[in-house]
Amino acid sequence: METLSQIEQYLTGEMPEAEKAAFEAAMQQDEHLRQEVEAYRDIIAGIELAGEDAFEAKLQSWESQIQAENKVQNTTVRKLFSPAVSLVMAAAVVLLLTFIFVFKPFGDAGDPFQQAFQPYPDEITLMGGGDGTFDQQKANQAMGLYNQQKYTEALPLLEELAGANPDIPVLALYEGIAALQTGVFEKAQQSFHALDNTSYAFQGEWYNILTELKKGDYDAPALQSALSRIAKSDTHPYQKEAEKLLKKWPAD
Amino acid sequence: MDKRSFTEAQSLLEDIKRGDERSLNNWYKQTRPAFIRWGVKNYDCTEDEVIEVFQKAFTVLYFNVRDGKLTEMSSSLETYLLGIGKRLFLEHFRRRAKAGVSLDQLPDTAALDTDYIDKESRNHRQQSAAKLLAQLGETCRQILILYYFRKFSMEAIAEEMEYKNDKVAKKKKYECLKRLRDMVDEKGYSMDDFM
Repeated sequence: METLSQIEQYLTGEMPEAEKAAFEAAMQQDEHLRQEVEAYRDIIAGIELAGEDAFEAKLQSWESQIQAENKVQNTTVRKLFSPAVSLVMAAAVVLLLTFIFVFKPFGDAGDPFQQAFQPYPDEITLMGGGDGTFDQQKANQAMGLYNQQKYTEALPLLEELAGANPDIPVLALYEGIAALQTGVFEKAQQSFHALDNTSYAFQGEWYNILTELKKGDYDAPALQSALSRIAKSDTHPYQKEAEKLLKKWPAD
Repeated sequence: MDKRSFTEAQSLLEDIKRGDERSLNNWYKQTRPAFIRWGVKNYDCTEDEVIEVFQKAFTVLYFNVRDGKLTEMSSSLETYLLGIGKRLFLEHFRRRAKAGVSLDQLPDTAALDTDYIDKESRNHRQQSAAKLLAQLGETCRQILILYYFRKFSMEAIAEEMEYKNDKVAKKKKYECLKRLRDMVDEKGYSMDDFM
């Protein structure tokens, strides 16, 4: 075990310099020792390789999970917006509205929206570039205002950009957030729903919930149920935030 | 970077270093859409190709943090990830990259280590050890991965695996390493197993 300990120290670079020189000299003299060092060098590299493979497999499993969820979400959205279901939903909304103002689950626990809201980070300025058709100057101006939380001024610019670039869904997200903060809730929810079939579907869902919170006339059980679903999901990026919001929710 | 973003980035850095899976998973999901959009837009690649590069960039970043090559944040982790992605794109899709890509603000990633991708260079004994590790038993596999791959200290391993102290953990680690060595000598796969 003593030799193995030395070999390992040597291979992991933890052997003191003075000992290292002596160890290398010993390897020159002792062919068996040299072979042992080479063998353990490979064994340790093999362990690292197994770790890398396992890490890559983990990423692949996350990726498969995301793609499967997106697929389910897209199918659900398509089903939700079929004419028949839309009628049922409209009826349900009428019923749900009768419960509005009845439940105020947060009571005096503070303004849940203010506690939960964080503007989505600026990806546009960070990414830069563009393919020549994208008005980067206008985007920088809009995102500059957005970053300074000047949402009223940012909104018309973002509306224009989102309209002109439907292939860049994140613009609809910024447009929705600016509308949300300006109090144009219908417009905000329209923008967030436009993200349903995109890679920003999770973000759209989250900010839609925040819009409900800010509007204040939410249906508590439905909102609580949506938050519970997110909190239970291991793959939702707002899982922790949903958990936090639910903790503030007083027990029935 | 403002103070809050800096604190969040440092905290994420610590989580990554610890191998906190939930944080890693959340960060994967948060950065993925932006990376895909950026890659598709700037490098004329399919979404699947961008996802492949994203995963490689994510892995390189993880290894750089784990190995202590990235300890202080001068820009956001997202910017570093894009910097790595940029290099990987340029390596793999140089001819197809669009002209006029203005990514000069990204950090210089020339020093970033992407050697892990070069698996072709692994020799037969290394690949045997990687395969046989799974047959070593869960305790040994875990202790060797924690030490050699995740770079845990012996104290941290003792805590993680509920050993009495680091000396006990160290002794166990040597036993496991030696057993793996013996297995490689006895059962070592032939080259055909890797073809």
